[in-house]
Amino acid sequence: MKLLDNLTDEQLVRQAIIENDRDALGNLYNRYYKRVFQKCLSIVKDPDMAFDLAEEAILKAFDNLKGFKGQASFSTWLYVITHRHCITTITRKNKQAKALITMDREIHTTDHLAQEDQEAVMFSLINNLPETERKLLLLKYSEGESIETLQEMFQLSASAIKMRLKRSKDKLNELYSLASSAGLAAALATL
Amino acid sequence: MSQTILYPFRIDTDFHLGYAWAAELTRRLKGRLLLFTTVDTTPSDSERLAEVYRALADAQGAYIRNFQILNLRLKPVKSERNFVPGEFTPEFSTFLEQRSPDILVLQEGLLPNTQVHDLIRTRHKAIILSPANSLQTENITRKTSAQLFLDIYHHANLYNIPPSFFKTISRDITLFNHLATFFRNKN
Repeated sequence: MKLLDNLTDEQLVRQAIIENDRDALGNLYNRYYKRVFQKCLSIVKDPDMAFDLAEEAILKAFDNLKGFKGQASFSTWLYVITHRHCITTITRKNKQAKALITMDREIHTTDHLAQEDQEAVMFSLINNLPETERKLLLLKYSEGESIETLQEMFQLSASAIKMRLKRSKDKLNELYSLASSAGLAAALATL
Repeated sequence: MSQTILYPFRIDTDFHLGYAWAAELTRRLKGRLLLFTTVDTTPSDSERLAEVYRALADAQGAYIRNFQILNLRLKPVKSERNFVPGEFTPEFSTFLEQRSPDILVLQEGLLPNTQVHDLIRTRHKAIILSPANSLQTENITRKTSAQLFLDIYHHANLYNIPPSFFKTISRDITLFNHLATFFRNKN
C-alpha cells in the first residue's frame, strides 16, 4: 500500500505526472482543497461562490501540473493560481475586492511578460524577502492564518501585523514593477 | 434539456462515495447536479454553513480521487447547492415538491422507509446506493473508475429506471457489454 501521506507535495506531483497516479492526485487535492477554499472564502466572503472558485482554481492547477517547475513550493504555486483566479473572477463580475486586488491589478497593467514568467518572477521575489517578512506574508496569504493567530505567533498587535503585511505587499509591488522594467536581477539586487 | 440529478446528503453520515458516484453519473449524463442538505441553524451562522462546504470539499476529493482521469482535461463538476435551515426529512419533502428531479440518488438509510416507498409509488426515478462499507472500500483504489462506477451501480437498487438508462450511462462499448451481460444473467 502506497504511503502517500508520507510523501512531500513535490513527490506527489512527480508521481501524479510521471506515473499517472490518480491516488497521488487525490491525495494532493485532499491536502489543499480546504485551504484553497478558505483562501477563496477570505477573498469573496461567500461560501457558495468560494466553493466554485476553489474547485476551479485547484483543477486549473492540476490541469497544469506539468507547469510546476519547483522554483517555489507547491503551496505557493497553488496559492498564486488560486489568488489570480479569484481576482480575475471578481474583476470580471465587477465586485469590490480587498487590498490584494490592488497588487494584482498593478501586476496586470504593468506586466508584459508571459504568465509563466510572471509567476516565476513573483516566486523569486517572495523567496528572496527577509525571512520574517516572507514567513508573515506566506502564513497570511498562503496558509490562510488569521490576524489573531499571527499576533500570537509574532507577539505583535493586530495593527502592527496589518502594517507589516501592507508594507510587504507594497514592497512586492515596487519590486515587481522594477523586475518588469529592469529585469529580475535588478529587483533582487535591492533586497 | 439536460437531466437533473438530485443527491441529498447529511454531513453526519458517510456520504463521500455516494456524492462521488452521483457526480460521475451527472457527468456521464451531461446533466445538472442538485445537492441538498439542511443546516441545523439559521442561515446567518456562517461557520455552520462553512462546515457543510468543507464536508462537501472532502466529498469532492473522493470524486477527484475515484473518477477523475489525470490525462484528460479535468472539468469541475458543477452543482447547485441547496443548503437550508431546518430538519432534514420534512425540509427534503418540501424541496422535492418544489424541484422534482429527473433522477434521485439516495444513500440507503438516509430517509425513512415510508418516505422512500412514497417516492417510488409516485413514480420518481430513484437509485438507492448501498452503504459505502458494503463496497469493500479498501479495494476501491485498485479498480478503474469505470469498474468502480459499475460496481456501485450493480450494488444499488433501481426504481422506475427505464432499460435505456443503461445504454445512456455507458461511455464505451466495453461498459455497455458488461452491463448487458450482467442484466441478461440476472434475468
